[in-house]
Amino acid sequence: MEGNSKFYEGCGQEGPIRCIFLCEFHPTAGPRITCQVPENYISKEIFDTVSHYIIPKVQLQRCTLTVTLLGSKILGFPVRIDNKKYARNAYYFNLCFVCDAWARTVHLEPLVKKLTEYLLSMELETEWLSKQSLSGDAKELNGLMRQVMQDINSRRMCTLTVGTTTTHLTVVRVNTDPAPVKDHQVPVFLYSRQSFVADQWDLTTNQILPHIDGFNHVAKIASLTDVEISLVRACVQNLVYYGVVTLVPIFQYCAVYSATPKLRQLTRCPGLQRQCVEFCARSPRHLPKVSDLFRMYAGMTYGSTIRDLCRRMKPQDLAINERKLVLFGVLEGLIRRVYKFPVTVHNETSSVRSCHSACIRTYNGLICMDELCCQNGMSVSLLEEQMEKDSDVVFIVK
Amino acid sequence: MEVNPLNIFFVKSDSKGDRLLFRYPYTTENKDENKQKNYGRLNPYAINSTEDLLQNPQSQTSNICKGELSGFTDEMLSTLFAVKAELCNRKFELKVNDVRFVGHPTLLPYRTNKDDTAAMILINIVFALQASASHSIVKCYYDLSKRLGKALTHEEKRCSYLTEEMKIMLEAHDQVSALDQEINGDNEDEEENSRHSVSSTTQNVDNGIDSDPKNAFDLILQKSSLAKSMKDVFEELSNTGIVQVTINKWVLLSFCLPHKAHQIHNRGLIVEPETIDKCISMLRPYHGILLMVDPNALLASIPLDGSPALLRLIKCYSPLKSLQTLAIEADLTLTQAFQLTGHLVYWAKATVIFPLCEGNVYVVSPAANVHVHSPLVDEFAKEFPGLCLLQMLSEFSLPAPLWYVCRSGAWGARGGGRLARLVAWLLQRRLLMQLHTYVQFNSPHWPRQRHSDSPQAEGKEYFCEKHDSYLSSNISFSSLNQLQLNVPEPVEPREVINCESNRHYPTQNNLNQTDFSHTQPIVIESDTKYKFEVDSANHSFDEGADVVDGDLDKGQKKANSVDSGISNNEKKLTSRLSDVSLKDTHSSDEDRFESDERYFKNGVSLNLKLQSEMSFQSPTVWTAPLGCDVVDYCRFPPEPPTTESLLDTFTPEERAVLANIPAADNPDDLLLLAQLHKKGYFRGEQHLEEIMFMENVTRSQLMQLLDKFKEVLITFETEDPAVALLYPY
Repeated sequence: MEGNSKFYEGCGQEGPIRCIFLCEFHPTAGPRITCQVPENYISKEIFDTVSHYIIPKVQLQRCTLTVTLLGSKILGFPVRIDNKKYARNAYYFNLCFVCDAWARTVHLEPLVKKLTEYLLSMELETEWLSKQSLSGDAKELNGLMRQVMQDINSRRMCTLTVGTTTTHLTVVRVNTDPAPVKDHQVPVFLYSRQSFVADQWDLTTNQILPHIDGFNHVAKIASLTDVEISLVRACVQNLVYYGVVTLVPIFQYCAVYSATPKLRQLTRCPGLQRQCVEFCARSPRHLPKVSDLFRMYAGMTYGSTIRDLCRRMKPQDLAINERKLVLFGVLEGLIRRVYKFPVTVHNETSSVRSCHSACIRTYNGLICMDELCCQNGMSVSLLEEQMEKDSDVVFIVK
Repeated sequence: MEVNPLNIFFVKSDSKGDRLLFRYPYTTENKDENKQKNYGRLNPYAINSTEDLLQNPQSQTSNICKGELSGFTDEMLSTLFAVKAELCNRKFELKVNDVRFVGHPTLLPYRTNKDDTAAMILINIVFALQASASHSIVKCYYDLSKRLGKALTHEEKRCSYLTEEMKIMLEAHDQVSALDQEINGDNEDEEENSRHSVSSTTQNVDNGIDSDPKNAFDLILQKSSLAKSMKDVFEELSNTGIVQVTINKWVLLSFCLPHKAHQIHNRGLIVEPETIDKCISMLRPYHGILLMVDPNALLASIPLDGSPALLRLIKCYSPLKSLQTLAIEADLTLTQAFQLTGHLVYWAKATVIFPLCEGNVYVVSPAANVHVHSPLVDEFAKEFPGLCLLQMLSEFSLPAPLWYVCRSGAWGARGGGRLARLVAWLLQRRLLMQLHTYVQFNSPHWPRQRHSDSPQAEGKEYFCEKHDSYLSSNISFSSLNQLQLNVPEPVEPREVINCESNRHYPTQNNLNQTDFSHTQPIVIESDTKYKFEVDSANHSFDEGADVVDGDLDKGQKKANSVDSGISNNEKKLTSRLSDVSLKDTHSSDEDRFESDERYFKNGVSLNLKLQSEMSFQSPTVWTAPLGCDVVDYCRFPPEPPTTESLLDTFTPEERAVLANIPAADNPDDLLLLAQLHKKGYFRGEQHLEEIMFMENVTRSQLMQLLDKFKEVLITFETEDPAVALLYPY
């Protein structure tokens, strides 16, 4: 099942919940499964081998536990209630989700926790759980678990109502924090704007949304919407986290791009070609040719700017919108931006000189030209002119 | 760092119950902290924070405190790690909050004290990692745990090593706990007293610590060699990622965690074994290797039982040679050479490059660290006095072949060796990246449905991947938008979708994602009767193999030794070419150079004259007949095919386009074009160097062809995907 299959362990993909079971510590029989959906997914034998991870010792109560064995992953959040009314003065239970061993389950952890807390409060209030397990008739619980499994697997959210209480469960994708947004970066929507539900977002985000068009950079959006720039940055970062937008480098005619090995996919994949043709067209009635698009991309290399390329290829005659061409290439990874970094090199001779002309800025090699232009509000050519005067500044293109 | 282990545990479980015998690192402060907490509560002025009664008690969410494991008692861990017999000899993985434990519980027979009654004992060597560590890291740690288990099983069988060591550890535990009890007894009395005055308690605590015997683990570490080995394992993992431990002075255990090991040379570069496998599967005979360490040091570090093939390969090593050349010189098959390359890359001893050659075009790698104060700047200045790293990099900012840099820079006539050394240095640090030129035949209608074996499949394959990527993005969005989630039905065996891999390449290693068998480090030897130690005499090899260091004489000698081969081949080559085409253009070498000159403007050419000057070897003029397995790689047409038959490879539309090109009137040019097209070189997958290598055409021939047919042949420059895999971006 590993090896050749698409879902090998560590593939990083999410998988469905295969089974949900509630397990509790029976005063005489020890750990046992009270209720399981679907029936007998976890057999008695398997359960016995893993039971001490599911009903663990005291120190591990209220910890999210995930144990991977025998081809499945069991997530649980063990809980103990101390009360004299229970046999042995305590009631232990654990609601577990079972997934395939290859699946990523981090995003389910908060869910398990919340559901357990919900059951816990019901148990504390009405002994909802212990009554069902004592009577041996766990129909309600069974129904609840079935609903959770179905709804989470199909819609990734679920609303549970038991008696007068209601709880909402939803799966939130766990991503790493996105890098801080810089002023010169350009946010681009990854989906069509129609599918975007504006009500879900805060007011500031709603204010900047109309200006995210794939060409305006963050600083420009801030000035267009009259929103404080740090707020715009925060909003964009938030949108990046949820995968609604991505950041691309700013389009300039003096920018340099380089083809990536992925470019050859444009020659193979009809789907990609169709998308590219439709996206890069100047007008929808007159579509450019794939070979011309490919030729444009192929012409992008170190040392040749978009301006040079446009002069040579004349994209307007080929019905190509070069801005969109670049945007599409960057989004699909067919090309990548080649940045220019000014660096001040300190020589012995120059250090003496720079002493009496301390006003000249030094560049540490971490800030690219785009960012500098954005910071200083200057055009690239002006900035370059300034740097040319300083013989200590060298340019590194990468 | 998530690559580093948090802790290593050694747990046993037998008829007498389970016990945590050793852990490293262990902290002695834990107890004191707890004590202090206890005393804190005694403070009458302390406010007991009233908990929100409506909320459930807050659960613990993290078990990592200042980079160390916290919140687990030894007893608790030992019950967790002493698994049931059903779970033995398979992967054990447990995640608690943000800590992941991984181990391989090993069940082995051992001798009890009463003679021969063999009982079974379970040992589990568990590593604690951060939960965010990637799956392949976890897998490597699992592998290490398994190996340690195997080594101990072997040593137990051979000389009851485990029994002895466990006895030492248990004794130490008992000794300390006996002492502890005494002191605890005292403490309890003192605590009674201490309730009256706060000041006296602190004093007593101090006394208590002073009289406390060392921690049990301290004692164990002093007495037990196994504990020392485990400590070494832990520390080597944290420092270098390469573990070389001799257990019981007998079993050599070598292990490498590539994620960590590659950071010795490049900080922040994480190379996963899967990436290496993928890279090796894409290796071609023209690729070369670049060692990250001194070849002599590498030879010295190889254990005595290391493969002789590896030794031979390293002795022949030069960054100027292609793998095929190396294979021939070291008398290996090409497959072996590939596997050894994989091995060297896995152990962070080498990286894959295109052999250094003056025609190579380098640019600064996108992820290169160009900070003014990066440590690399100083290292560079030390290595190459008088040169500045940043200035050097700015010279590579525009793509130009190496000979061009050589001329333009302050390199003298004899500076070639130094430049080569410099480029090698920059490549080792992944500061430079090579660009190749790829050619795409511009067919009137894309994608082409011909070429029997794959294009159809490829289109589909790509589409699948595409579809998948959209699916996954849908998932991410659906959480916002309540879309339908397509739940992937799991585990039906399907081929791994791999867009980058070129299907029609003959793949040497049938790799699947999970198998690192070819990268297995040196296996534990069980039968060897001698002690492993490095015998330098055996490894001493003649007069320094580091050709790059600029030993010109030696380079010359080498060149001479292979010269005959080259000249033969050249003759063959020219005669063969004259058979096929281009009879008039390339009658002599001089002609060739002239035509080269013409293409200098394009920035890509291989100047053979300069090449000899710089003592570079051309990797491109090698041909097949020297090694038998190599023959497959150089496909010669059995007889010069006719133009007519070759033109069949073009569709009627393509032929119509070709007919309009003036160069098509020349049958020789057209023949070469058709020939190369038929073999699929114009699909943007093989770079110029590969075409030259495979088809024995010169660069100038190719450049002319590209120029003549520039209406249908589109060139683009990008990096070699196989090499780029090992770059950090």
